[in-house]
Amino acid sequence: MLRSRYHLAALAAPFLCARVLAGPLDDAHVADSGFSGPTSGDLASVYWNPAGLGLLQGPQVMLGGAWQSTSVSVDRASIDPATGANPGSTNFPRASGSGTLQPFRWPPGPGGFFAIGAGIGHRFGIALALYSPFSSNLAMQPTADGELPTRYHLVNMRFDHTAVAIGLAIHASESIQIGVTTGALFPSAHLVFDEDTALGGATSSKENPAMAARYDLASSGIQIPSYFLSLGAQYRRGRLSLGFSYTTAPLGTAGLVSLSMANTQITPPGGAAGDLCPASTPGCLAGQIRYRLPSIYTLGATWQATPHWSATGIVRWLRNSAHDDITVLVAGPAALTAPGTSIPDHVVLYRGFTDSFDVRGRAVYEDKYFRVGGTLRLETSAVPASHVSAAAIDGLKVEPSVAAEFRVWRQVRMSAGYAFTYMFPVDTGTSVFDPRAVSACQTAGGDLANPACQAQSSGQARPTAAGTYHMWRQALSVYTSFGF
Amino acid sequence: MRRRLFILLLLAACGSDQVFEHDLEPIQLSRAPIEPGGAMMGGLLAAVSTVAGIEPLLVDTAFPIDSLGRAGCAAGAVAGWTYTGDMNLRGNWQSATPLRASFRNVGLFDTCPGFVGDTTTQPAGVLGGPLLANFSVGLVLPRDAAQPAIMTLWPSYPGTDDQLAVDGLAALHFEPRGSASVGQVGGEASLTLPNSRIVLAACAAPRAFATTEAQETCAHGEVALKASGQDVMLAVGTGEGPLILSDMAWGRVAAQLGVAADAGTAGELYTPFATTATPALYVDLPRLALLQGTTDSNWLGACTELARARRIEWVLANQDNGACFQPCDASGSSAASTRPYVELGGSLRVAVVSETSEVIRSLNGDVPVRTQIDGIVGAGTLAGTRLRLDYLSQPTGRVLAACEAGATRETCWTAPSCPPLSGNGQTLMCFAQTVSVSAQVCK
Repeated sequence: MLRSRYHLAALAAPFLCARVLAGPLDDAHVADSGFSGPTSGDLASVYWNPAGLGLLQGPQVMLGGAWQSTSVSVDRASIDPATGANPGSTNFPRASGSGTLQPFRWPPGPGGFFAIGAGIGHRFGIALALYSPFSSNLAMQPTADGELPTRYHLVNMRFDHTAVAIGLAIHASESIQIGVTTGALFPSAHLVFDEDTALGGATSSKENPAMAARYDLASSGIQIPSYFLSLGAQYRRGRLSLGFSYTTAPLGTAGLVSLSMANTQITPPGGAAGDLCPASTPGCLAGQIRYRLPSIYTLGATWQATPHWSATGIVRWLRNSAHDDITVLVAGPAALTAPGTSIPDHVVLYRGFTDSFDVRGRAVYEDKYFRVGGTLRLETSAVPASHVSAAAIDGLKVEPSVAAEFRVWRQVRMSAGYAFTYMFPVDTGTSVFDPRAVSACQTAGGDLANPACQAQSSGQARPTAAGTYHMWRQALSVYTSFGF
Repeated sequence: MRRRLFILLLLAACGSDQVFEHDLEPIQLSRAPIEPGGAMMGGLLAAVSTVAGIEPLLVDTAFPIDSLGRAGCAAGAVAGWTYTGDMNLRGNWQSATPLRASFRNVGLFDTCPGFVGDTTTQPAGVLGGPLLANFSVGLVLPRDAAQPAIMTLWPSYPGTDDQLAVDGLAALHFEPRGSASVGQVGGEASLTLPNSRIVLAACAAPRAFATTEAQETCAHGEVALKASGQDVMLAVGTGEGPLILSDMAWGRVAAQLGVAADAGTAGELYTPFATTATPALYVDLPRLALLQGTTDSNWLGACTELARARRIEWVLANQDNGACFQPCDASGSSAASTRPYVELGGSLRVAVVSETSEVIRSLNGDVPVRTQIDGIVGAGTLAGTRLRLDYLSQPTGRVLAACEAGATRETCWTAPSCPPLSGNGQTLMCFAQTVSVSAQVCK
């Protein structure tokens, strides 16, 4: 495992923070209007640190969402068409992709947050919340010649995980609150990619679109949820506030999510219309994807420098290394001989994530009627450079953001923020994906002791993803909170 | 003896941090003879590494433990102790063979099972139910003895029963059995055998059926009377060859068939349940239907459910001629839903063994005592099928069954569940055909 060697620094900066996605899948700013975190005491604490619910005063409602746009571009390295390895005579035009996340749908999509709760007698706090802690949306666009250079890793994908959670906090003493959140995580997904059926052949050219089978898998309806738990504590003394929380990966399955993909289609190579299913039984394929979600540690400290000014530092440790692959399984009629023979009925998509750190510094100026602030966020990559593909683009990111909150009327407050995330370009170097492993493993008779077969087993025996990757994001968020 | 076995298992399970290394690709298996001198369609054999080289390893879903003779078993059985070790499956029998799956740090018995099939096949151990139950095990069991069997180990199997029914797969649900526990007695530790045995309800020797036959009538209250065949409970045993039945169960079946219970050929049965040959009476059975191993308040028994499914199938095939659902199959104005089943035929080889034989006693070692298991449906009986032993399905395990390409109704037939039919023109897939249901319940 490669470990990030980036130095981390917590930087205070004159910017406010808005909601933006962090590394792949993770949302680093759930309900974060620029002022929430493990030391704050609002309804967003259901996610950030349930102990913060102990600071609620009276009944409250919080509602809001963020519009987020992600853009990526991929400059793939050339390949040798005979082997599929880099470099070679086949060049690729720049591929670009984009994805938008917004919550304005039912049930609320990624970026949305709704919570209702109350502080009870300055002793307890309780809240119910709906949010999406893990989400991703990216679609690659065809190039001018109509090709999709990233097709073997990603055509498009959407992953959503809607959490319904209940948080409870109690004052353990004058200066210490402890809290717990328990929730159900409802996953849904749509995943489209191509499989190069020529990889095992000795003579066929590699990455020939005519030999690509397209896998299109989508979940349908409400799925069986996973369950998670979050524990937290807050300490306040004088001008200092400290907060710590731990959120588990899905419980009972070691973080594994098994998601039924009821709408599964495989389009055979050659560009034929329709899928593998006979006309008499359309939709005959049943799919499933399996992947792991991370656990998260969050630590924060706030220093109230003056009655108006405060500074906050937050560190999140995301155990992304649990997300090692996405396993795709497909079942179909026994009479359908193609799946499992000429077309795989199982595909392992290697991810090989590593743990990442999300560090941010925040400065806030607060008055009776408004507050403004800024945040500078730095996040290490969850994906080692050689593991990067169109389906998992990540690198060192820097994100300045600004936000402001106004007291609109009595206990009604509205906040808005804007953030821009820039990922330093990632040059993969030698990609971990090596298409030659397929034939090498065949030659070895499928010997799991053979490195090529180990690569195939882990999902690395795919067309190379070597190249340079760029990504940037913008997000605009608006949240409103009501006190009663 | 049994207590010693339990203690061995406990020790085998202690302190192990199991690691399973495998891919999702097929693993080729060979097969032992179905009986001494019989076709090579019996117990499934993988190739396993031992210090003595590459030796056969029995893959037996019915066996309650995992074992591997550390020193190999080619020189004969040597009963040993338990240990935490590795079981490395190889791709074939050559000296330099690919590693296809590795189960590391697993609890194993250092014992050699008896011969399997005949006296020429001595496995070095058994990949039994406890290990197999960690997977969704795919098995392709060709009827052609010259073709190898195939096993795949998946983490799960996609699709609901309804989805897979459209694809022609019959989902036979089961609750794993085989657990046994012994309390602390005389200073010995208590221990538990895991539930890992697949047990299904079956109808032995039902009558032949065709949708072209005359309609079977069945009035209210006659549903059980119209059943043919004999209800039995069978464990699925991929390490055994023939259909193994206790003499008590065979007595009932023979009476149903109208043959003498002692008619047949005396012989010997070799299974891992006994280190020596088990005396057996070899007979042939015309057909066998396998149904779910779970029951509910509407469960009528294997043969009765089979008869109902056949009657409803008959109506669907003949509804254009005015056929109607029989009153005994009706629930209000609708025909009742049918249970999924797999019917195997073509003269099935049966080994009849004593009720007190080790194999039958071992099958019924559950603590607490549960429904009597009458025998084992072996790999030879299942030849011609493609099975997915989906142990990990929730809330109960399931056997997904399909027939190999080219199978005829006489040799292999799968019938997924057919939902309640109300005759209102609903179009659905039942009994391998898409039908628009117009038939009503008979007046």
